[in-house]
Amino acid sequence: MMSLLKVKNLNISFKLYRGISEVVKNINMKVDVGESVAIVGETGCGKSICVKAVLGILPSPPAQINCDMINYKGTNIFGMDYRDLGKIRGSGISIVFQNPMTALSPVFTIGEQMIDIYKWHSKPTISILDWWIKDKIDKNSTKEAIEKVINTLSLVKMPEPKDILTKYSFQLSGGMRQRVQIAAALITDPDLIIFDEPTTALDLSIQNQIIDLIKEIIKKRNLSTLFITHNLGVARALCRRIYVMYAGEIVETGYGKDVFDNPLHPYTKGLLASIPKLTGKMGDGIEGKIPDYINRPSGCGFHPRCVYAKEICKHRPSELIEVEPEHYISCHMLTKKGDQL
Amino acid sequence: MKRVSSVKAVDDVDLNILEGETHSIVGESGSGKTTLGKTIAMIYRPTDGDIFFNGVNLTKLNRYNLKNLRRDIQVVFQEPTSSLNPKRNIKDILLDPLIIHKIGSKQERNKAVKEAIETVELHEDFLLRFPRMLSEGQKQRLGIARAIITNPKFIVLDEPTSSLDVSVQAKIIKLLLKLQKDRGFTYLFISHDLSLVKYFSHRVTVMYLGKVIEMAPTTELYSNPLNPYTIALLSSMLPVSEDEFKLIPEKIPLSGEIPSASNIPQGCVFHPRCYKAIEKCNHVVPKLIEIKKDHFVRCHLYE
Amino acid sequence: MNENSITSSKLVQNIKLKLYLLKKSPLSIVGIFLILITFSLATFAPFIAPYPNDVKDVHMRLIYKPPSKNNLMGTDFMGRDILSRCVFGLRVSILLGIAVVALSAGIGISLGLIAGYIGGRTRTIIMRITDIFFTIPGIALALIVASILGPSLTNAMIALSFTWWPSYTRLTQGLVLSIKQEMYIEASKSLGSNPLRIIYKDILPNCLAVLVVKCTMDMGWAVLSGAGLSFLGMGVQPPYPELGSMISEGRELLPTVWWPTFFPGIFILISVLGLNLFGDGLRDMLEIEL
Repeated sequence: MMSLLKVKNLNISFKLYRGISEVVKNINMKVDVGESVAIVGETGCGKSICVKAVLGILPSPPAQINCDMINYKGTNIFGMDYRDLGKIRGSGISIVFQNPMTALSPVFTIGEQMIDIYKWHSKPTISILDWWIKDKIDKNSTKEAIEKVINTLSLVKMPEPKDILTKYSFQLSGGMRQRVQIAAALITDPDLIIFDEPTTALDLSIQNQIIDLIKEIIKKRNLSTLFITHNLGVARALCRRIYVMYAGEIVETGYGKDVFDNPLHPYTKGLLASIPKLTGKMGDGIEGKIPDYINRPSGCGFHPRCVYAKEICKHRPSELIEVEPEHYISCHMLTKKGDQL
Repeated sequence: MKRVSSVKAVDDVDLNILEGETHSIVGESGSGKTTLGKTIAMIYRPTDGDIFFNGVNLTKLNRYNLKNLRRDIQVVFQEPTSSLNPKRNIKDILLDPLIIHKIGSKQERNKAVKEAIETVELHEDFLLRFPRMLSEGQKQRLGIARAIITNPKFIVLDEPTSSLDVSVQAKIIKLLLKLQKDRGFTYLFISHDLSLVKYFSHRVTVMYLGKVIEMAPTTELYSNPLNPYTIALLSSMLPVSEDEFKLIPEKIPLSGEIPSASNIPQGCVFHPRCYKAIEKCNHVVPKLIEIKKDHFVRCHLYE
Repeated sequence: MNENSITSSKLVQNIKLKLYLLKKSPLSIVGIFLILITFSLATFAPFIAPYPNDVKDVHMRLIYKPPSKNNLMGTDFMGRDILSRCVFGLRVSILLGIAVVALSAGIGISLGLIAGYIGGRTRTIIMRITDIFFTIPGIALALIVASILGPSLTNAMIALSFTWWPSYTRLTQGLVLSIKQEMYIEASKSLGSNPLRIIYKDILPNCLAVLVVKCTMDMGWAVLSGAGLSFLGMGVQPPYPELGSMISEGRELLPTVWWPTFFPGIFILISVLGLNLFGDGLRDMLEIEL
């Protein structure tokens, strides 16, 4: 299966007065066509920054981004001119942001915002001529846009799509705002949608509605999706493959089933154990806290907090090794055959 | 009943919390669970009704006696960062409750502060630091230390771990359990995390739009939920391990949105979204009835 | 590690951070430099002034002498050395600045805290009184008050404070309203804290950063307004030097005899500029701490 998006060796650092903060190190990820992939990790692990860098929306003077390649549909989009990148961002890759409450502008109606997105999505720079004059003359483009907006809103199961066009975002509830955002992401017919914490701000009963909706849309349109979340339950429900990030590095990756049922990396194990289970068990959490990105621990990034840590973990950095088919761990404790050392 | 302008945040709630237990209140937004918790802690004053604490009616107390009773009722807030004054150091924050209630001499207070910070597993060195120098988990430990320093009997935990990562949450919950075992606290635990509630509580109350719709001991509620809303809510849980799936009722998708609290439906508050609604549900408000021992339900299907 | 070493290492780190930020803002360094100059000149006036007695003495033979070796800034219409009078005048101006800000901030902030915290009718009354004061233009009000009380340094201070306190009230009230919503205020209430303690321990420390910046900026304006009042004859009375009145005395002979107006003006410029630049830099430094 061809990869839709492939990121090779991404590194992001920030220059602070205390030193250089290496936030993301050696990230390699891919999303295949029609696949759902999740990036999970706790606060501060760098998952959002990673994705923003891939999309080119991470402001680059404070951040220093180094990457071998970000391959989207065969072209390397790393370091691309913002005009070309804008075209790809608008029509190939869409993003649904974390907080539906604030992601929509409160001063424009839903209709205005969505029509804008549809009309101008592949034109990152618009001249006044285009916008002021040509657009006013061409009535058809607006009509076409409105039709498309209504269709997309029905696709996300909005009740009364025509009425929604004239409403403002604060007149809608959280669940409805999230649906509008998803519609805004779909209206440009993307190949890949990135969801940043899609259900965090929503109530439980609404969360399931949104998750079911996303599943349906993915199936209908054969979309590829990338989910960023810290909610492992949501990740399990939505994704085929999963990347577990800790302190800016990928510590484990594989098929969701494999990682959840048989976690191998000590961090993943600790994380999954910490979740209270309905069977009545709950782990003790993970000791310590995330490292200082300016003074990273030597060797394996997780060793200060790892219950299995040995001498070698302090000196040699670990790399991703395939221990089972399509199940990679970054840990010294396991050999290629999957046996514990 | 508590009115906030023309919105009924909490309506006709009868609650019994036993000494030494952890009683959880579960609900979504608009359920009134936070308002209820804060009213019980006397942060808000109830519009109607009584709150009895150890036999004393809190709503009828004068200011002075109420202040004294606040020693015994404490609150741990939801957001650790915003519940701590950023301009005060930790020692001051912990001394505050003692100074306000005039507990102990200067030396005794300093000793109490040291003990409190050690009980929550933070090092003494933290005393001179400011909240912004702490991690989220450490800040919440501080919030707990502040709540226990006056040696209260009853602690309202308002979603204490909602904003924390899962690995930190586990440690905070274990700390709370240890404190309960050592010092016999009674907890009122407000949360929307159903798995956590199952792990942590003895009894659970489910609320929806200001009303109590079901109340039962934890194991009973999770294995035998009666109200359709409870069943639907439980079915919407997303577990992470394979063996949990059989403990969740079959998936019931809930349609529609949660109505706004200023526009509460007539009759049973849940009826517009209820998949088992009957004619009666449209106009008659069901009463909270004890169906089995200690298992209360508010639903016409069980009358 | 004992308590002292923790505090001292954190203090050192804090100072390092402040110095780093200061480096990033060269203008505030200029500001601090200027303030240091003006303050030292004012403090050590008796020692710096070449002719300290010229505060009172008159030398009719030396009137309107241009800047020269003997009188670095020339002499005025009574033969008095301008440089000496300027450094003494600087004392008055700075004193005025500090006193006016202290007085108006004291009144204004207290009223603002009360209005913001208590709310309701008290707030409405206080804010409407504040609004009334806002409608009267500053200098006009100060002139009225000064003319009622009679021209003198103390009365000038009182007059200016009259015009200054409303802006503090309005600012403080706004800050209190937003801080009141924070969860730590609710936490204090749940602990049983009384309103006075909440205002003093929880609300005020969180307003201080903004208020301190305003105070520093206002000092510049206070100095300027004090000079303005004296220029109009309502402040310090002659013969005691004050930068504003010196400018006023010298303006009739402009532009030929330029030095009696020019040099006091420069002194005002330096002090006000220094205070303003420093206030700006202070805001940047304090923001990080927030």
